[in-house]
Amino acid sequence: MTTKHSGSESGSLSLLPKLCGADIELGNFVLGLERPNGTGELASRALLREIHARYAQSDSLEPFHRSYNPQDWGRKFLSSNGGCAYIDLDHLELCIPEVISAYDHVAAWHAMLRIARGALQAANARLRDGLSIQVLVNNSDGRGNAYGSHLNFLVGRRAWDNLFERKVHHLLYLAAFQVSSIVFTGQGKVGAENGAPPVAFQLSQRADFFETLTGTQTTFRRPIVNARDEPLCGRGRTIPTAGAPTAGAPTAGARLHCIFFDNTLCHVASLLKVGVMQLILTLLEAERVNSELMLDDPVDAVWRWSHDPTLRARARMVSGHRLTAVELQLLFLEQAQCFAAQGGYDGIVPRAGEILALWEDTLLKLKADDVSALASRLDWVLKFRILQRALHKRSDLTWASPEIKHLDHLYSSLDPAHGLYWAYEKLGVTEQVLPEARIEHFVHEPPEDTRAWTRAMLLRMGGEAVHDVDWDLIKFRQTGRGYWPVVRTLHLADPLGFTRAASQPVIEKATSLGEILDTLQASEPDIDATPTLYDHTSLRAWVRSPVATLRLGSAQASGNGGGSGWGRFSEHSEPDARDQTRKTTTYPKGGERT
Amino acid sequence: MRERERHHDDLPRPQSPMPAAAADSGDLREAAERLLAQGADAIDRALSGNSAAFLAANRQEGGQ
Repeated sequence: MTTKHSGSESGSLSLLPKLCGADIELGNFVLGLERPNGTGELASRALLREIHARYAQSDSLEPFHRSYNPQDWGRKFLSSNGGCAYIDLDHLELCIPEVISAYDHVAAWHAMLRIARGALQAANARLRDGLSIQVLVNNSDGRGNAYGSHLNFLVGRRAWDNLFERKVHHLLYLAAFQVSSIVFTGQGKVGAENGAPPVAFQLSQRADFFETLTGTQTTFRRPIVNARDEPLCGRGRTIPTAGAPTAGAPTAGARLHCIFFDNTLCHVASLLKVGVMQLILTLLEAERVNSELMLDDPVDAVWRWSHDPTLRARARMVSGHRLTAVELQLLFLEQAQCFAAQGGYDGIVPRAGEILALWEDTLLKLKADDVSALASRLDWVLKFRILQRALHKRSDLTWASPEIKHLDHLYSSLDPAHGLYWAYEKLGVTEQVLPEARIEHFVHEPPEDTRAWTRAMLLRMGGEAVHDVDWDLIKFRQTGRGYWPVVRTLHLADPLGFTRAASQPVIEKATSLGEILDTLQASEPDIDATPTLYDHTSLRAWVRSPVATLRLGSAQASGNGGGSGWGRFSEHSEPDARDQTRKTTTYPKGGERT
Repeated sequence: MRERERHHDDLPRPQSPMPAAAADSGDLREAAERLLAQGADAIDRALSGNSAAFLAANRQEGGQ
């Protein structure tokens, strides 16, 4: 684990590169088909089957040996790029592979959308005339249902503890940043939901659904800053680096699970959404928190600012000052620029200087109300301009017309024939921050500078021997002594390790999968012998083991609860057998709000 | 990490969609407006659909 040290009042602090992931939850339904409970289940499964067939080397929807979980169904990791796809409560969900650069994040994000688009086109080709699957890259159906767009960032354990267990001003600082960032991260939305005051158009898809400052939940009373603690990079005070010859002092890692942002399509909005978060999280990790930058009521502020596309609304700070979202963002920018001038981001946030410059330019254009220029960069501005043009064109329409809400949804339609974003991208309206080839690269290949590379390569090599996969491990079935198969586990605890540079020489030199696992220090077989007939303790353990699954069938053998991922923590997941320290959340049946 | 930065810096950068002469000038606004206006067909196509049926079918219960 490569770290960097930054001085503070409390001594030297370790800074980690801000590795990041994402899960993209999509709206999906079948147009032309009516079902009492909607058609999300049908649509999502048809899409997932196509993705499995094309990118996971399997068209089976059977998950690995996991218990049924409606929030994590049919998950398979993709041998193409190391990401994964599954179904979460009847939504197709795409998780990008872990990346370090915000630019790569944009590329991987769009690559996953291309994968889903290919699945959409293939699935639609199988449907009879009059039916079509629709996929929307948004976060709300306009009927009070929201679905997430989660980002995940590697931070030091100390920074995570500061946020949620030690320093409340760190939490308020992050909340103030996130809330005010909707001026460039919002996708825009027609109307209000979830009991919020009526509005014609607002900046954010998600703002109406945030009801509390912090919490671990994600499907009801959604928190602005999510406190889930599922690191997926080891739980000790140091990150294991077996098989990953990285330099520097080891430090404990944690994963910040951010549920706040909207799905974005514009490259600049997507880049700033991730890149500026990397900058702010580095400030938090370095404990360079400006306690002046705290909102008196972040929940009130996110509604207030989202509901005002003129950007003139002001929210009260703890200090008593009342600021617009742009004014507050400029204060965050100033602090980040100072830190950059001291070299604070060197080695931690790739291309920090470019991200800072783009952030500043965008904020200044927002301040100057230069919406024409911003339509090329920000989804909410582009959507707002499109809808204004539609209203100008059709004088019979108002903001409350179904046609306008229809256009709102179609902005993010994944189908290039209907999606307004793609039409404007094709026209050259939108500013691109990376070459087209970089997106296509991540459709087929993993990032080279994270563990995603080794995951993808071993999935390609492992084939039928792959027994189970999660973000931080892969299990393989291998022939053991005698008749019984054995399961070996390769732990990928270091998300910054197992890079191409680290693993490729091992893979090229080895003559078998077993040799690769030996060199990468895969753990000993989980079990390699049948239990003694009357040893009930070992018999129960054996029945729960993966090997028993092979012999007894999945109905009798229960595998691990799974459900977690670099992209996702599942509220219904059971404690993982291999890591009982992971936290889970339960809530009363029927008690959740969407 | 510096190695990573060099790697990324080696990538070719995309060109701005706006005309070069328009960049950083008042013409930028006009160029953007012209491009936006070209999207009228896309808007017309979208408006020709059955909005009521689309909105009725789009029900996404559950989600994080």
